[in-house]
Amino acid sequence: MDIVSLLIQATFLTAFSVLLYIIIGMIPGTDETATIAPITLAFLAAGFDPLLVLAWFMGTIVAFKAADAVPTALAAIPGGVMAVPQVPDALVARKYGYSEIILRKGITASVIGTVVAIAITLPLSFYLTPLGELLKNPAGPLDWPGWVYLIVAGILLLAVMSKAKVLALLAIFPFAMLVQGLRGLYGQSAFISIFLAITIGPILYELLTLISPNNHHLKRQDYARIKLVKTGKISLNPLHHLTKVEVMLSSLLAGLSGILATFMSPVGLTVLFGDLVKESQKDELKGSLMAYAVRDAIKNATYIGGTLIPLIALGVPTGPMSAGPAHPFFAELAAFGGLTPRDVLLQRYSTSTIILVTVYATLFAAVLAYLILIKYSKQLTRFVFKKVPAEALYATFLAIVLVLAYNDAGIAGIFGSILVGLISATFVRNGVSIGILFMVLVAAPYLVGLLF
Amino acid sequence: MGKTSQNLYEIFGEVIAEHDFLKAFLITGGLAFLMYFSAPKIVSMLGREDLLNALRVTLSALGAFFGFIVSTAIIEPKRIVEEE
Repeated sequence: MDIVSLLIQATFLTAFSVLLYIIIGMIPGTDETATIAPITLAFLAAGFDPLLVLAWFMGTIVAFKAADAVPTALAAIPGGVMAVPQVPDALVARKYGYSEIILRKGITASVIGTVVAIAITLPLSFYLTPLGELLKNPAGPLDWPGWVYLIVAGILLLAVMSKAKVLALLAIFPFAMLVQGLRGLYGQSAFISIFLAITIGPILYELLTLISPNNHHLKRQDYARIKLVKTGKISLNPLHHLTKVEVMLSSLLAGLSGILATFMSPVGLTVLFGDLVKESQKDELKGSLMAYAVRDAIKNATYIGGTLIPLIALGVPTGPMSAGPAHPFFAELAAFGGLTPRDVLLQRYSTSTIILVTVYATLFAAVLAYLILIKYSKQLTRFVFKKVPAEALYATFLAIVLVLAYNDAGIAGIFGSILVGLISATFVRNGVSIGILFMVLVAAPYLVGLLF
Repeated sequence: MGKTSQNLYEIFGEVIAEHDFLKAFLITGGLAFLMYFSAPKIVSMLGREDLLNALRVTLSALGAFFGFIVSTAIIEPKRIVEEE
C-alpha cells in the first residue's frame, strides 16, 4: 500500500474513531478497556491492516481521554474510569463558578499530553528496539524470557500499590490457575474470550446482580437527574486556556508518565501526579484547576506511551496498558497466520512509514477532538445525555464480547467468559486493580509453571 | 417524565430499566449472532471461502452496531437533564 493511500485511509478511520469515541467517552460508566479493546480486537481478528488499526486505536485513545472529562467538568459525572480522580477537582471548580474554565483547561491539557507523549515516546521506542530482542531471550534462575520478569515485577508493584494489597497479592496465583485451567478445558491456548471477560467483568457483574433477589440496593424510583452548568463562547486559541505553569507541568508530567506507563498503571500515575500537584498549592481553587489540567495531560500520555513503547520497542506487553486495552496488538491471531499484529506491522512497513502514519493519525485526532470539544462540548453532552440510552451501550458491548467468546471457544467460551468476568469483577470491586488481572493473564503459563 | 412502569436500577451512576436492557440485549445479541452465522452463506455467495474467519467477526460487530442504532432509537434514556 503506498503512503498516500495509507494516509487517506488513516484519515477516514481516525475521523470516524474520534467521532464515535467522543460520544462513548462522554457516556457515564463506560470503561476504557471495555469499550476500546473489543472493537480493536474485532478489527484485528478480521485481518484488517495493523497500521490502519493502530491509527484507529490512537484516534480512540485521544478522543476518549479528552471527552471523558467533559461531563466531569459540566456535571461532575465522570465519563470513564480514568476521569474519576478529576471529580473532586471539578467539584471545587464548580463551587467557585469555574466549571467552564476547568472544561477548557482539561481539553487543552489533553492535547498537550498527546503531543508531548507522541514526541517523546515514539522516537524513544525506536531507540529501545534492541532491548526488545534481549527481553525475548530466556534468562535468569527461572529461565523465563526477560519480559516475563518485567511483567511479574509489574504485577507485584501494582499489587503493593493498590488499595487492597493483600487481596491483590492473593489474587495472583488463583487467577493464573483459573486462566490455565480454562485453557486446559478448551484444549487450546484461548486468549480472546478470557481477555474480553476481564474487560467486561465489572459491567457483567452489575447486570447479573439484577437477576438476584438481593438486588434491592440497586433499585431506583426515578430517572437520574443531571445538572449541566452554564457555559459561554469558548476561544479556539489553546494559549488562552492554560497558564504558563500549567503548560509546563502538564508537558513535564505527561512526558514522564508516558515513559513510566510502559510498566505502571495509567490510573495510578494520574492519581499520584495529580495529587502531588494539588497538594503543592495552598490555594484550594488554584490547586484543583492545576491538578485537573495535569491529570488530563497524563491520561492521554499514559495511554499513548503505555502502548507505543511496548508495541514498537519491546514487542511484548510489559504493563497494564499493553497487557490491557492495547493487548490485541500482541495476541497471536489466526487472521495473521498465527503471528501477532505487532509482528506483521513491523514486517510489512518501514520505520519511517510507521512513524509518519502514527504521528499523523494521533495529531489529526488531537486537533479534531480539540476543535469538536472546545466548540460543541455543551451541545454534545446534552445530546448524549438526552438521546443515548445506557441500556443500548451496555447491551452492544456485551453482545460483541459474547460473539467473540463464542468464536474463540464455542459455547464453552461463553460460559468461561461469564466465570472469568464474575471472578475478575469480584477482585476489582474489592480494590484489586484490573491491570493486575490483565498482566496475570499474560504471565499465567509461567506463574502456574512455578506450582508444579 | 422520569417515571416508568418498569423496575429501575442504578449501575455505574446510570439508571437503566430491566425490560429495556433485555430488549436492547436481545436486539444487539440477536443481530450479532445472526450475522455471525450468516457469514458462511455470504462468503460462499461471494466465492471467497478464504475470508470466512475475517468476515464472521466483522459481520457480527456490524450486527451489534446495527443493534445499537435500533436500540438507541426505540429506548428512552433514563436521565433528566437540567440546565443551570
